[in-house]
Amino acid sequence: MSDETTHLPPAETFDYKHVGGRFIGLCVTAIVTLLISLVLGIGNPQQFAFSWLFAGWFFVTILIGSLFWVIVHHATDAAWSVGIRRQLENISCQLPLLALLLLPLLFVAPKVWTWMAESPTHNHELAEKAAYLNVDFFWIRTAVYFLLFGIVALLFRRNSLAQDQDGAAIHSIRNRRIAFFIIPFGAIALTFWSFDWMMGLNIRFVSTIFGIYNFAGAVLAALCVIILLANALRSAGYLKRVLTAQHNFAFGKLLLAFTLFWGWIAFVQYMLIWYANIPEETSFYVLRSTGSWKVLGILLVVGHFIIPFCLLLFRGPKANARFLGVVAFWILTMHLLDVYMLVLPVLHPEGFQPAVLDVVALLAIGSTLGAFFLKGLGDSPLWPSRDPRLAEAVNFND
Amino acid sequence: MSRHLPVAGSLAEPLHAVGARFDTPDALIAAVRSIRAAGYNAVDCYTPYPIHGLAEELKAPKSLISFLVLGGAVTAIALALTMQLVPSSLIYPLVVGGKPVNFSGLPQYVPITVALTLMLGALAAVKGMILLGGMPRLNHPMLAWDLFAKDASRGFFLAVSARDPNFTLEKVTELLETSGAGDITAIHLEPSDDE
Repeated sequence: MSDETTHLPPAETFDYKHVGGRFIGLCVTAIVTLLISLVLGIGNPQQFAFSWLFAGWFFVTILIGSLFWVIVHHATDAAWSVGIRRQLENISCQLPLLALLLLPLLFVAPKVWTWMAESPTHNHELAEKAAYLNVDFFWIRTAVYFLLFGIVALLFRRNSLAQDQDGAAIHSIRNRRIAFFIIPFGAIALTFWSFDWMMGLNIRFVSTIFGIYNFAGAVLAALCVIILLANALRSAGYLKRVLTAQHNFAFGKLLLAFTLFWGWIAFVQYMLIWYANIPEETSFYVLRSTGSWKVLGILLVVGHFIIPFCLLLFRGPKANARFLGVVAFWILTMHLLDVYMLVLPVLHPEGFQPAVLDVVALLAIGSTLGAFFLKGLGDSPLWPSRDPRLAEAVNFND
Repeated sequence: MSRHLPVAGSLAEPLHAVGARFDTPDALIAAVRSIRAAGYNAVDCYTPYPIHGLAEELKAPKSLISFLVLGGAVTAIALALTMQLVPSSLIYPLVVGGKPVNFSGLPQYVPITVALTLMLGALAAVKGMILLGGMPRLNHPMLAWDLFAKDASRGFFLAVSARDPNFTLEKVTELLETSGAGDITAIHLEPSDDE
């Protein structure tokens, strides 16, 4: 054991020479696309509202998914994920910024969550649900989601950074306590968050598994992002000591597991609604399987489940970083389609109708988050350099 | 027996293998490496728990388990779909809850198919593991070695089979000695109780 601790890899800090012009490019993209979305948004506030929600929810799922991996790491006292934990922390700590970026939704909310514009006195369904589904409570809940997850993400990172300074195990133990605390509350919060933001697009639709469906997509998307990020950092020459082929193999197995998880949850939601055949519930799928939406729906089933499942089934290529990168990018694209299919069919029930704002909103939020992420990347060592389990993580053998 | 190796089993019976005990997994792996490098292929190891890297050093061929599981899973899919589709879609089309009996009614057949796939896949894995390990057997030649039979969990054991075409007792013993093995023993078969 003493051998291992004396051979711990020295801490690496990100050097900005690797980003160079790309950082400027991200900043310019962010500013330009934010301005374009402002201009286009004033012209077509309804399209703007839906596009912004689509892009926003895509990034919410990635950030919450990253937070989930941090929570799992601490709750299970894992060793293998020490090497990627700092990046997961960096990603999930973008939550306050994302909250700021999603502020425009405050002004266009009734355009996307149409129930807000309706009066319970004229809508019996809304009146029945008014105790939960009223505007004030909606925004209070939204604030609670951001506060809960944001504070927890920041606490994880603060303890983790403190450990970089003194190497004390108490920080790991504190983080484990936070993880135990957040698991039940976080599960409930994410469920209701997806109820409020996604299911609330059509208040007649109910599905108890909906929260888990969004959770499955979020966890998978975050895993894809961390795989791509790990590949990018390794190709720039970092993390090579702490992330080996064994870690790639772990990534590959988790990708397969969560692809199966997403596929099963998606199927179970579909099958139960299809079988029970109750109009309020089937409307969700009827909308998404008519006209050109049907093509995208089939693409989602094939692309989000069948293709990754077949690719990841074999043992050999799963240890290959390049292969994993390609699969992760593909799944991430499919997750984007998944979120798109949750949001946009409500606006265009007649069929798929691409809008410039969809792309612009995605670029605006994405490049802003990316720019801030890159800016903060060099502030701390690239992995928790004095984590008690670092030696175990480096020598992880799958 | 020029070196007067300790002998297990009966000298009247043929030699089965030369066994040795190592104190650490690392020593065992190093020994396997040097014995493989010397050209012996019929080498086997007996350890109290799985050791990472040992299978690679032994150059063990890829296990057949994954093919067995795939076979079980594919059989299960075919079986489940046939057992559901043939009676309720072909022989006696039965409309339940207004669901189509043709291909577009497929979702209703999926849960059973998935469950059966999991079951046959898992059974193939477990039974395959037992059978491929040569499991239902009443005795093993290694058990003629008292130390091994009594204390197999207190060391990392290695056996070089006498069936190896390159096998010579002296050379193997020498190799084992240089790699730091303890309790090197010539293991003979035990007389059978048939007569």
